Amino acid sequence: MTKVAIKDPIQTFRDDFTYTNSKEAIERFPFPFPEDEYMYSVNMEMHERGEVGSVYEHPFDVDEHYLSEMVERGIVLEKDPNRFGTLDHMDLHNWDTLELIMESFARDYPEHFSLTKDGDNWHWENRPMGIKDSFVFGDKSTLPQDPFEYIGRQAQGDFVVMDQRDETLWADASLITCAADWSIQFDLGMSFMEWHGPVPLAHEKGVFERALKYLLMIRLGQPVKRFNWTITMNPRMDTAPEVYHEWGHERTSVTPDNVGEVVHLRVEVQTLFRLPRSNGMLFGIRTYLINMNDLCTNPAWAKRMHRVMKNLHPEIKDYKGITRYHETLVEWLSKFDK
Amino acid sequence: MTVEDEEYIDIKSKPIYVPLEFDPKSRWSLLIAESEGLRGIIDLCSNSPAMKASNSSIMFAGNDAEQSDAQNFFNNERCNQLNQFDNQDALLADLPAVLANSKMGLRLYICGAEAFIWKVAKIARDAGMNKSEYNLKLMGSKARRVYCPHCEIISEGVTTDIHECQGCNLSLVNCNHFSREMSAYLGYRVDAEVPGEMPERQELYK
Amino acid sequence: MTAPFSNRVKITSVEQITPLIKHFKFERIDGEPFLPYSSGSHVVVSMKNDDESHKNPYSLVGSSNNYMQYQIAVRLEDNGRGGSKFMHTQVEIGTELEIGNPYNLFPVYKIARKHLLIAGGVGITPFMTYIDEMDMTKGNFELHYATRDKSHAAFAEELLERHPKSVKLYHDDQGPKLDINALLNDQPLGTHVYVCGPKGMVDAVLKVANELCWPETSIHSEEFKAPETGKPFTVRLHKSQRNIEVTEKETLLEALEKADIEIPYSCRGGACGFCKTVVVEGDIDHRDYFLTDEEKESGKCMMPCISRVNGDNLVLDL
Repeated sequence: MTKVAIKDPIQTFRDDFTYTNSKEAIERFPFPFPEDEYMYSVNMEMHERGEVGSVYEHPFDVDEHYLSEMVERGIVLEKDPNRFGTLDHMDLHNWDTLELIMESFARDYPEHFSLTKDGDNWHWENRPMGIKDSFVFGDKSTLPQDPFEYIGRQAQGDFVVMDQRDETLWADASLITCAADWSIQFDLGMSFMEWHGPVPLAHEKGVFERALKYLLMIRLGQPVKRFNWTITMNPRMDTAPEVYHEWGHERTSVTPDNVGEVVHLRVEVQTLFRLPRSNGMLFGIRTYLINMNDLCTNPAWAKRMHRVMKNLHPEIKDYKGITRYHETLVEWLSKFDK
Repeated sequence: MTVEDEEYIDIKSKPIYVPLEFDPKSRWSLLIAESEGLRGIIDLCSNSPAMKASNSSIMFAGNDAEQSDAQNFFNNERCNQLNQFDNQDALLADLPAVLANSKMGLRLYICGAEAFIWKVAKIARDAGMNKSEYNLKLMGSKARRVYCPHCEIISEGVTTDIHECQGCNLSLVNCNHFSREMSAYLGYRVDAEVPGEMPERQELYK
Repeated sequence: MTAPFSNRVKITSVEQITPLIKHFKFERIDGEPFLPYSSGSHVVVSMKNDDESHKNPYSLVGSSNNYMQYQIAVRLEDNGRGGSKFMHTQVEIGTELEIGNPYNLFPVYKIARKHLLIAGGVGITPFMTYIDEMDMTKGNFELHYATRDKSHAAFAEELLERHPKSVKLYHDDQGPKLDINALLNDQPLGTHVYVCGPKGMVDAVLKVANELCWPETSIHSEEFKAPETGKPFTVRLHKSQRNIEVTEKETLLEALEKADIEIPYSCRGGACGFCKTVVVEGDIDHRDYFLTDEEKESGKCMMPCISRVNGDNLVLDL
């Protein structure tokens, strides 16, 4: 089993942007484009144990950026506690989520996490974060926060916990601190079709109907995954609308000289797990960032990236906020595709 | 189901409205309207021979002239009960108790300005009603409630596509992404990329 | 791939709890804990000996927090196809079986203001886990449980002890009768009704709920019924070029499994969609609850766990 070396001291996803990817991180980066052209599709696959060392080796991936991301999460929640929200009926779902993540971490990264159970009396250790807590499973008063918030503050990626009813899914609890430009405060409580309202083109193609039907049938023990992607300026994790005025201007700062350093491919590995006691679903959005310089150290990726960007549908360009610097980016990438 | 407005729906979460239609599989009807929405209620009743006046009640908020019209309508139809309110807030404050005393088999028919009807829908949902148990029709002001993600305040009565947030004063553009929970549209800073650079504002939602 | 993650289990307890119902407890043979499950879940139990094999879904009863043990309660069906008879006559302490992972077609509606539970006979089983959830969430509920007489009311003592005010028993032979009309006539907004039991009772509740104008979204039912039988027919498998006989008493799915053709499945009752199979040719007799009307009309697919064919010509893309 691969051991993960967590970076310390931590790096930053804001202000001075000290974030870097090691050679290993670049190699295992989840490059999302299987073809030279990109269009929305259902593109869901079984989320089974993947290649050792890859981001799919374990159901929940912990990598070198773990501590840095947890510090970043702490900063966002400090400024805006409403990035965590839960509706009243979600207790069971939230305990399910805590159990799932704790058990996965303890099993897959035993050098960093341990979980021991004595009936409902659980003891959890998170060594990288220096956390040691004992609590009673099912009793909220024995944890410092809601169980979902508690474990969410110790896991990389954003999470939405969904209730399944009326033949659809409802985003009834969530922890979102690295949103790719969507507002969870606004979307809390929305149904699947509602929260996907703003996504262009996909509705006409029936993508969401098919996706939903598939999701409703996900079974215990058989999680699925899919990819989403966008472009971010600088390795900025928090690109939520809430702070749009803080980062929006960065889209105008791209020049032919700084593309390699500033323009980042942002890939979300989205995972979906059936939750056992609530019959709900956990939606994990695990975000990976890589700048163009690092991405293009892989010639095959560089070529494909150029072609995908070049052929991008205008509505998708627009929706993902790429329009302003699209030409500069494509021009810069063209040198890898001669 | 037909879409009344011909406007292009670019975002699927945007509400679309159809004329109110009586649900024959119902036991009681509660008609809830404000101001111009009275017209919608009257139309519903005249188009629904199957609707029994004796099983229908009305809650209406409006000014004196409008309340007088409502009274006349109620008298003609011989509905079960009429409760009148001088303003929307009073009606909305009363509604939860009315629903708490109601039984399964009730349907709501809600008509009025957009902000009002969705607030009523939220109260209905909080009382445990499913969207198949209530019907909404916009009649009157399309002025929007707009949620600002930057300061989390909802601005009321927005008729333009760009406006200054009533909470933090940032210039926001509102899109068609709508939250039924908040009864509001989503806004976001219109000039985040280049502060001060924004298109001309248009009055679209009167 | 049959039921995902078949778990090999061993029976640890068998108890006759009513004249017709046996209560089984079992643990995993590998000694590992079971998965926790949601209220209303069932598992498909696969039972076989040299002469016969059956796969039946049974609701899990018993607390989900007891990770080392699962429990089911099985009613002996006189006119069944043999599964319950197998459980009652061939299964004893130490018997080994296979079960799939829990799956839920009858979950609690989490935002209901009130849960009205109506059970008939062995239909009480899914509600045993509902009670656990109600305890945990302090849910507002009523359980109305009807049986032919007191001796046939499984788990009655436990239910009355845990919730004397919320549980009401009815017996055909004596005492007050369950008046479905009166019950559904007078419920506050936000009530959801759940019914599980014999077909007659389920149909009656659905009929009354509809007449009293309860919206579809507030009505939930689970029926334990064996797939109906039908005329025997032959199915041709297009890809493997094989012909399989489907007898009167077995389903198409069972016939395919007997011929060692593996189809994904879950509920085995036409509701979950897992066994959806592409049809090349044939006038399908659709009996499922999963496909849309368009899909049924197109004739391009079917659910072999429950549906059959009109006539004798059926070709599947297998």
